[in-house]
Formats: sequence, structure tokens, C-alpha cells
Amino acid sequence: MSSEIVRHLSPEEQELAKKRQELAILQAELTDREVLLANLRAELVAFEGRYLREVGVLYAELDDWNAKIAEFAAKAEDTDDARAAASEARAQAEESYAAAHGEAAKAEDFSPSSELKKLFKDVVNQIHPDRAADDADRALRNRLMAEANAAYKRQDAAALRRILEEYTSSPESVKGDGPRADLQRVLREIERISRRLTEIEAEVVGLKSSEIALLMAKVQTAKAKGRDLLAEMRRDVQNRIDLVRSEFESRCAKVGDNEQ
Amino acid sequence: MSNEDAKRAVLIRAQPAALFKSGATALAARGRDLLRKKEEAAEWLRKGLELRDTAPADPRVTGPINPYAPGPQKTDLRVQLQTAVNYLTQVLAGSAPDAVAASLGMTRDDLEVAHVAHFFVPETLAAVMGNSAARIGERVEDHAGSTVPVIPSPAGMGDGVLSQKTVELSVQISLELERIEQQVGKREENLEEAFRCFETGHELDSWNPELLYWLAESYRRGDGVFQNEEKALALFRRAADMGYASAQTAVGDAYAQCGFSCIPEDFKEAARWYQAAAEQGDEEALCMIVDMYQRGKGVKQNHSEAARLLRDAAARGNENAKHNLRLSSERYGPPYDRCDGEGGRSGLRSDAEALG
Repeated sequence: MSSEIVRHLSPEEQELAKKRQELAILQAELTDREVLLANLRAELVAFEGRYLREVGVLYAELDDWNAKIAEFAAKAEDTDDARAAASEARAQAEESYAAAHGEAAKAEDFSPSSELKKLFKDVVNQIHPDRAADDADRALRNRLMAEANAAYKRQDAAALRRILEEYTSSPESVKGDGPRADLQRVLREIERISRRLTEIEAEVVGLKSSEIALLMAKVQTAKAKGRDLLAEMRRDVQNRIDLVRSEFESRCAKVGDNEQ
Repeated sequence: MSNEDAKRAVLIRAQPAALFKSGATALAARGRDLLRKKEEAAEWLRKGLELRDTAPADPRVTGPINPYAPGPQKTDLRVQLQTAVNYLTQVLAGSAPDAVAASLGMTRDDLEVAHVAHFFVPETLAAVMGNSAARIGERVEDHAGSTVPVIPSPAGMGDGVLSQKTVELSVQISLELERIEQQVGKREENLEEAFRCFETGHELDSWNPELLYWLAESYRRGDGVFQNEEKALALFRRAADMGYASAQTAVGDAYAQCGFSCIPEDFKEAARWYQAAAEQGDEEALCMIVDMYQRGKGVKQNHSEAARLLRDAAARGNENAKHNLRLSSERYGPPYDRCDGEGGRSGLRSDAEALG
């Protein structure tokens, strides 16, 4: 009787148990990091939209006036240099206009409820592609994960729930062909997750050192001190616009005087 | 046309390096560039103000000395020297030495200092004691060839005889002059450095009204830069247009010809600027505009407006305004009564009404 109860684990089974523990820790970590990354991306997109709407449009206007002045000068001077400067300024103005009025500027503010955050975390936990059993499963998970990321960015709770349902209703992959095969699978999974964690780390570092992230950090620090940096920037750029516009108008007036 | 060229070049150069990036990132980079410049400018401003604060006081005589003014004792050699400069100025201008000495309240000690100081190299004296002494320098040189003693020596100090006391005094004076010279040098060094800070900051962020103000103030006083009232006023004007109260007061001063002489007097314009600054709580502007309302200078005489300004300021806890209210109440009566919240006449009246 006792020999049936006390069952010694084979070395392979012991190893498997250890690796499974390690895997569980990594999976939890992965979920956290994925959520963090998704949050960071969404925040940046939202901030970029806000910045473009509030300050970017002013820069676009400033560039437009600068281009007008350059074109004016090109007409007056009629030299190749002046024409080149004018077309360069016009290109810059068009680019700024496209940036300030493009898709990126339409991003809405991102402030997910804790409910939405939890839901997204559940989704990541369930359908992360790096936890796939086989290639078919991975393809499905990849698609769903992309959809989930997009839904989270839109703060669309209904879509997240649908994704969760769709995955749990899909046929589960068959598990286990003995400890040896299990160990192989666990080891592969550990490796995949580790690789993904490194990728996430790299992406977070990249995002955090982007222009828009540095700008966001400054705006947030200033906000904590009770300053509205975006408003200050708006004022500054507006001042420059006024300066350039009056310069343009005085040139126009001068030409008008000369013609009379 | 070349002037136009330069202007256009400036405008085009004003666009940061972001030209080479694209789209939203480029716009974000420009925003960050702007912020960085603003921060750096604020840092320069802080540094400049610190330099000004740590600059030693100006030891030079800039105007006539009032011997009755409170301050350091007249036995202080530096003060004695300043008195001496004042004395020498007046005597060389032809006033009777005795009368001048009496009017300045000079003691025998002071006279001795003045007598010894007169033998010092005029240039040194001029350099150290400022503008008023420069004129003495010329006078002393005018008299250099003549045998007539320019400054009569006080009784007991033989002309041409170097008494023990004269020697000691001249050593002391030369040491003091050296100290003054050092102090002036240190002060000018600090002010020049401060001016450079304000200038650098202004180049980075030309819309910072505080930097504009300090740059203007440096030009007005000639601190660290050649004095230039027109330039100062133009800069004050820009900061004032941006709503910076101290600059508005300065523009008001310019129109009222307080410390400025580069534009004609215009009290109407002065009143406008003082009013704007006073509304923002600037104490100097408040004093000026209240006085103008009370005397009908540049504005229509209007005691109730003056009283309103004073009351507003008193409500903000401005002690001078409270004092001014009390004085005005004694002098002009009713408009200033319902005043400091510490029971004016109307306070009593409303109590009486409440009781009745």
C-alpha cells in the first residue's frame, strides 16, 4: 500500500516541476510587462494627439507664414537661392500641416478605467502568443492579440470581452505525451517568453526616449508643479506667429506703397 | 535688400534642426527644443539675478550728500571722503569754504580729510568717487600751475609742512581709496557677468518678460553695459506689453520722466501704465497713480478711484497702502473713510444704523 502512495519523482519529473514553476513566474511577469507596454503606447499616442491639436497646429501656421515670407522674397529677388529657400519652406509647411492635421492628431485622451485595465490583463494572460501550444494556435493568438491591443487603445471593453470569449471557445490544444515531451515544451516556452521580455524591454526603452515621450514627461512634471506647459508653449509659438505675420504684412504694405 | 536678406535668414534660421525629421516627431522635437530653451533661459535668469544680488554696493558718490540723513557715523573715513568730495566741489565752484563747511556740518576732522584728499591725484579720486569727483579733478588740474592754494588748510595744519597727522591721514586715505577701487571693480565684474547671463537667456527665450525686464534695467542703469535709455525703454515696453507689472511701472516712469529723459513727458500715458501695474499689485506704481488721481495729474481728479486702488491694495495686506489710506482720510475725508477694515468713520456709522 505504502509503496503506491510514496511515489518518487523521476529526475525528469523533478526538472519538469522546477521548470513549470519558473515558467509560471515568467508568465506573470510577461503579462505585467505587456500591459505596461500597451499602456505606454496608448498614453503616448493620446499625448501626441493632444500635443498636435494644441501646439502642432500653431507650428503649422508658423511654418505657413514663414513659407509665405520666403515665397514673397523669392518673387521680389528672383534668384535661384531665394526660390530654393521658398520651396524648402513651403515643403516644411506642408509637412507640418499634414502632421498637425493627420491621423495622429485625432487620437483621443487615454484614461482607462481600472475595470478595463483588469480586462485587458485577463486577455493578455489568456491569449498571449508566446503561450501557444502549436503553430495554428499561435497564429490565432497573434491575430487576437493584435485585435486586443487595438481595442485597448480605443478603450473598447466590449471588444476585449468578445476576444476573450472567442479564444476560450476555440479548441484547446491537446497536452502531454509524457514528462519528456512536456519538459521540452516548457523549456521552449520559457525561451520564447524570455525573448519576448527582452523585446518588450527594448521597445519600452525606445518609446521612453522618443521625442514625444520626453515631451510628455516634461509636461507631466510641470503639471505636478501646477504649471501648464502646453499652454505656455502655445503662447510662445503664438507670439512668434504674430511676429512673423506682422513682418509679412509690413512687407506687403511696403510693396503696395512702392507700386502706388 | 541686403537688410531684407538678413531678416529672412533670421526667420528661416529660427526653425530648429527639426527640418530634417518628419511629421509628428518633428513637431514634437520642436516643442521639446522650445521647452529646453525656455528652461535654459530661466537658468540664466536665475544666475544673473544671483550675480546682481551678490555684487557689492556701489561705494561711489552719485549725488550730493545730506549730512543729516541717517546712516553710518561721519567718523567713517569713507563717509568723510564723500563729504570731502562734496565740500571740494562747492569750494572749487567758488563758494566760501567756511560757509560750505558749516552747511555740510563738517567737523575739524572732516576738514582735515578734505584738505589731505585735495592733494591726491585727481584722476584716482575721480575714478573712485564717480561723476561728481571727475569735475573736481578738472578743477584741481586747472589750478595745478597756480601758486594760490586751492583749498585753505584748516587752522593748525601748516601749508606745505607735512605734519605727522597729515602723513597718517594720507596713508589711511590711500588705503581706503584702494579698497573702494577694489569694491567698484568687483561690482562691475559682477554686473557685467550678470548682463551677459541676461543676454544669453534672452537669446534663448526672447519672450520671457522677466529676462526682458532685467536686460532693460541693466541698460537703464548702465549695469555691466553702456547705458542706453532708448534701448532700455524699448525692452521695458515689450515686457510691459506682455503684462509684466514692474516693466509697466518702468514705462510709466519713462513717460513721467522719473529717471528717464529720452522721451517727452506725457502724464496721460504714464497714468495708463501705472494704473495697469497697480492693478497687478505693484507698490511703486500704486503710490504714483494714487498721487496722480489725488492731484488730477494726467487723469481727471478722482478721489473715489484713488480710494478704491488703496483699499484693494490694503485688502491684499499692503502696509504702505493702509498707511496712505489713513493719511488720505485725514486730509481728504469721506472717500477714504470706509477703509482699512479696522473701524473707519463709516464703520461706526453702520454700527449706529444697526443699533438704531
